[in-house]
Amino acid sequence: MQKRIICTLLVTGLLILSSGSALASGFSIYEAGSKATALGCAFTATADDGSALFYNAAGLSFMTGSRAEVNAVFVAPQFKFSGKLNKSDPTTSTGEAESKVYPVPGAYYTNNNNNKLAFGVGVYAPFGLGVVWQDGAEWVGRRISHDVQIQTVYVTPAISLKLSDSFALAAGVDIAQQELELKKYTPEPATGENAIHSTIKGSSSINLTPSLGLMFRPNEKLSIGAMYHFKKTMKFDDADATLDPVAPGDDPWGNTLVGGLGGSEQKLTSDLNLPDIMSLGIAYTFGEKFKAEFNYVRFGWSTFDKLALNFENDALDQTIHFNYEDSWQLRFGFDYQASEKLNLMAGYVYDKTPQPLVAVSPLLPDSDRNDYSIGALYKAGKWDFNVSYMLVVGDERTNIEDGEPVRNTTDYPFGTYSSLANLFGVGVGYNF
Amino acid sequence: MKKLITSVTMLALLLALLLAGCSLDDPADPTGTVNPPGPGDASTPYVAIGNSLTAGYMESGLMKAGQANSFPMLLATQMGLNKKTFTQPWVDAPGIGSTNVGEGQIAGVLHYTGTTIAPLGITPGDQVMGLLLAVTQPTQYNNLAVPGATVHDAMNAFDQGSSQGNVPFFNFINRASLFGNTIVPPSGGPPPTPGFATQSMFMQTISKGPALVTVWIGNNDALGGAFSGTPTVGVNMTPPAVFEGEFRALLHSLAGGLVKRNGFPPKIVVAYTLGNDLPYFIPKALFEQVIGGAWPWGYEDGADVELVNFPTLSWVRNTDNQGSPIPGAASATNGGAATLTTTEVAIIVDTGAAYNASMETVVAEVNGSGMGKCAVFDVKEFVSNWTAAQKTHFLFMMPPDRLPTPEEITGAANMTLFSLDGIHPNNRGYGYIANGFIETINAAWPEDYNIPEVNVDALSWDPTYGVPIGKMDTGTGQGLTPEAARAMGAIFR
Repeated sequence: MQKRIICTLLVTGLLILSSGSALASGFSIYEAGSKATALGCAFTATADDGSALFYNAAGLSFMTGSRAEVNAVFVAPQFKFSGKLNKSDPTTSTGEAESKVYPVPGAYYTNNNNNKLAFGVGVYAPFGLGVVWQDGAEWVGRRISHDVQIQTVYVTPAISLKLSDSFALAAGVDIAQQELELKKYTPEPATGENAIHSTIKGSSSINLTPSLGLMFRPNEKLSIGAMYHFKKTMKFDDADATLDPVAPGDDPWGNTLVGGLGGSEQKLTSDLNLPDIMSLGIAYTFGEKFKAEFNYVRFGWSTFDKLALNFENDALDQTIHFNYEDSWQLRFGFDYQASEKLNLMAGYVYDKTPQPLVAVSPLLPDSDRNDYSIGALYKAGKWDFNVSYMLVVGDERTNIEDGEPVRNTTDYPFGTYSSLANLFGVGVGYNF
Repeated sequence: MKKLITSVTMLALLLALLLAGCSLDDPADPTGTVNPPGPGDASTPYVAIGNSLTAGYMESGLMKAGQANSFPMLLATQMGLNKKTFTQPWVDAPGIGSTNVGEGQIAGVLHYTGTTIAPLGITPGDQVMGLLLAVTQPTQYNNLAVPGATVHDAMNAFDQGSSQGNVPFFNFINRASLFGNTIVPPSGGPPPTPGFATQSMFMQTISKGPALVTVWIGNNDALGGAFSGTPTVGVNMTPPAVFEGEFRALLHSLAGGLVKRNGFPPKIVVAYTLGNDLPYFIPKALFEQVIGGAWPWGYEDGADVELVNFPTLSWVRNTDNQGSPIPGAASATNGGAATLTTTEVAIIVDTGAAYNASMETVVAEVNGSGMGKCAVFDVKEFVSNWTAAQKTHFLFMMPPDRLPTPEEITGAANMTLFSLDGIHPNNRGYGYIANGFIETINAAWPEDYNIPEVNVDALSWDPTYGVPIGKMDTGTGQGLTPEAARAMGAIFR
């Protein structure tokens, strides 16, 4: 029975992973579990369910028995834009991303039947991006991107060693693989008409890096935790690019260019750097029923400075500069035990964007964010169920400074981007 | 029971919130806070329109060595641009010159052999595409000048067939055959949607959207007559009234098209046409000094001959021509004209002066309209101030009866400012021309430009093109090979 449930949960999780994903500052997705989402993902010092494999694997040492769970956080991002392609453009353009819901899954198994050594394995998606602009062929930012999808899957097996009744150390391996797809239009240089539609699509090779965690619980009320996931370089050694003339029979410019480049089908390689993640957390239980947690989370986004696309045909080589900066988040979570079976949760997050103004673009118009979350956990015997909701409110960003577009080119539109996201989470766990 | 009701109520409330979600308001349009467009917002800083003198034509051909020193390239370099940000239709060695050297053959640039001037190489016509190093560049060149272009061509020609002089250079600079062609009539003002495929030099300039344009056009409208040996207005020279109309259409449309495309008035430098103050036109006395005395059989045009054209040096070397007077117009032997009388020179001078007067008038009109900001560079006056030595043909600085020493070659190369074809400047000459444009630009728009001048002393010209000089051609002295003479006879082709 136990094996069947474990297999069922993990396969379910893997199936969910095949779908898209999106959101968070930069393109991180910090919502590895529905319960954690309800707590504003202030979970490093608590880490008492399977998502501990992401938030702090040392939490496994303070869990009991075996547990399997599946989560899904459904992310519905919204992006809007109002601005111009360049200063000579006589008309103001608006744009809006398509209404899509991206399931961000998590599937976990944990085991702490031995009081000394606990272990577990989790499948989740800590990075991802999905921005599909409506009417892509007309979208003012189509020369940069009208459809971008990044999906990253982590499989993290980890062990946690309880060195004393109050202290545990954990180590794991983040096994990651990434899918990337970018679509854009290249204009005929003079008229600006769409001439070539290009798609870049690739799967990275598998990347392995360690992760670490520690938990210190000097008494029943206080818990202190820390976690660290190392930075990664996802290597795309055999990505494909397709260059399609928009009007094949009636576009001498596009046909000549594609022909001169050796045809529509091209090969490329690229490296995409993912940041290291560090979280420090402290949780305290007030009285018998109310617990509060605070996390300071730091992302090493400065590693994401550029995306160099190295084509077999050197003429196509290009580098997309991001110049991200290290960023941080302040996360607050509140858990109230309403009854023996029901917990009510809430959270707040201030999320500092790593994206400098010059990098704000149709690929990802990121901004500082304020997140507000609520949720509930219901226990029924060996089963538990939870639901969560998070509202992510991004600040508007206007890439104009001193009356000038920050990036004054013929490709990057300038104006104001706004963003917002609704996250809906559900989770179910089974304790053996 | 109470707990259950509380729990259910809370869950229902939570569910309602989940289903509702929140939606995003439209952001306000911030573009009204942006400064109006100015020169720094142009999609490219500089584009050049013109003919061979702008293209970097040198030694009777177009080749990368000369193009690298075209005045627009030198000017662009001083503006901080480079070969990627200021593009030209680069041509590989031996270059592309005349088609007059044989059936299906394309002459390369000329070079000095030690005793004569000869093509550096000759390329079969079906292999000439292999010389075009940037022919598939997917954007318009910044240097759009086409050797042989007239003022009419600048507005209208998009390929060889549509050019006034049936000039094949249009095929690989405007590239209608590669990128397609959609003829947009330039009449009626600025084009509504200029495109790469609207191939004329003017249309491509609008498409490129520069902040600064140099326009040096009209030389072929006048000098075509000079090369024929029988300059006749309306026959082989564009009538001044027609020129003025064509130039007016060009400059007004250029300014109007660019102000519409960019949102601010372009800056346009108009350069006047050259006169006949060029080494190609040899004063009769100098010619007779070079050939060792008066031509015993006289001149077809009579005693009134004032100038002898350069390829005549080859004509007189041909012993078959002994016994014949020097022809006054195009001949089958030298492929071009031989002499110009005082009356014919006056026609050329007066016509050129009329063109320049028309340009001055049109420039004032455009400046008055506010659509463009134009300045004038009087190249004719500028070149007239060069010293006699700077305007002496390199060949005449070589010893007539022996091979020159390397020092003599270098000394002459550093003295003259003209290339071996006697019409087009050499590297250093183009450097001086570039500085003339720079002075004009800096003086006209000091608030926008402070371009440093070209260090002309750093420019060197090697008329041998690296080929070791050969043996002395005993008895003939310095001269031209027949192929070189024919190539020069079609100097703008």
